[in-house]
Amino acid sequence: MMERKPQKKYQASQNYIHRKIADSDVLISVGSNIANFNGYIEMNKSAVALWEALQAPCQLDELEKVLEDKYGITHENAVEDVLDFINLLQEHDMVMVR
Amino acid sequence: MDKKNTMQNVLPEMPRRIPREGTFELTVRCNLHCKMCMFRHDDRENPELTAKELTAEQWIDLARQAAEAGTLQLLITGGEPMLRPDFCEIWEGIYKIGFVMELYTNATLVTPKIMETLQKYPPHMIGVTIYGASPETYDRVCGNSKAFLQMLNGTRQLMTLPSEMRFRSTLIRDSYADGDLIDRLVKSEFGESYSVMQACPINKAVRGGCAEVESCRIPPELDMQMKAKRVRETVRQIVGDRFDPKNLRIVRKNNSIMSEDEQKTRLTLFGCQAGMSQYTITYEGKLLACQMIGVFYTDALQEGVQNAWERYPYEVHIPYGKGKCGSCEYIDTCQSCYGSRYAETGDFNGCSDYIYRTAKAKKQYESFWGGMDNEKCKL
Repeated sequence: MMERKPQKKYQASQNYIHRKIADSDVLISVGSNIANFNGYIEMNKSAVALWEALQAPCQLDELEKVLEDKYGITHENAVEDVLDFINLLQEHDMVMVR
Repeated sequence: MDKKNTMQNVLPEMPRRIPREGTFELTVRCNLHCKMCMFRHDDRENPELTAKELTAEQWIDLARQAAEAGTLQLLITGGEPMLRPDFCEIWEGIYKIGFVMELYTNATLVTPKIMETLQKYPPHMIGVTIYGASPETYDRVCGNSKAFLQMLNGTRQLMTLPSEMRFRSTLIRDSYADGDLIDRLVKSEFGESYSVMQACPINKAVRGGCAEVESCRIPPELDMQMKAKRVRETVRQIVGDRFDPKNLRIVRKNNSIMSEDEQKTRLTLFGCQAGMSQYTITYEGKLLACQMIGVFYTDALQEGVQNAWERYPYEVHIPYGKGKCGSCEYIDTCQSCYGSRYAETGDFNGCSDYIYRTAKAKKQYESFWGGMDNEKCKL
């Protein structure tokens, strides 16, 4: 029987602090990361849900489940949304890959 | 003055207030003795002031409360904040909560321990105030010639941080000749891309400050002449060969006098963001709308930040009245606000000779001020 390759795990970078500001959620760049990005990013609700899940190492299917459970979207849509999100985070060095 | 009517007119129409931008004034004490400082008290008051200063634990707790209340941006200032022996403890504790952190300093007290803390927890922005281009000028302005080299050394160290750096200066008679020299010093020492923002106008001391600015501030006409020259030079550098001072077109916002109906209903407390999205917590824990207006306050230390913020508008009692502004021909160039008018005259609707001459001189030179905020309330 073939062994499945272990899925990669993703975890949110420690270079950002998540804060709630009135009705908004933001990620504030901190520490040496200020050299790369000096400021903060506003998140929408689904980004908040995924970011909170990424506080612990997560596989992609776990993140997909977060969106499916929270929003009742199809698996196919969840796969696409999570991939878009993770790619964006990777592009901006906001996520660690294990 | 009818307090009840003031509350009825202000509160129902007021938009939602969220304390997004906070200032923590760790101390009003300073190691320098600048002649024009708005906040510094006489040194003889230092023991009393120190006794009233909040502890590091109190500041960190206030910061947690500020975060819960909705503060995103936090400025740490003084006096000179690095004068606090527990500056590093305060800075680290507040930083870890998560704010866009800004630091104002004279850069003369930067120690290895402070640098170690700031390297680990770098500010998003550092504002350094420079008082002159030589030890002699520092001696005349601040009473401390050694502070010039200390400032240079301290700033060189702060420049190694990933923080955005901004430079400011406040020129008085004793440093007037250094205006351009300070610009050149900053560019040569720290980089050609940097410029120096010169504070204007220079207000009288507030909240018990001891400075006697009237004897040292530059006459408005001379001050505006110098600023006009700086603005033209800035424009010339931007547009290069196309620069033609005779064909400069000045575009300025009109600050029209409000109608009678508009005067009855205020949408802000002071015509700016003070007390609407901005606040200051003083060295002793009072919540103010801005560092300049100490007469209206709530007690953030006793009540908590959220309650102090919510209750603050009820403490504001500004008499209605156009004062002299209503008929002033220089209202469009006047940079005064409730804070500066109160500092100058003790009357929120007052006008002083300095304010009037500054507005008149500005109009005379027809300068435009780039990013300067022209929305200071006139009435």
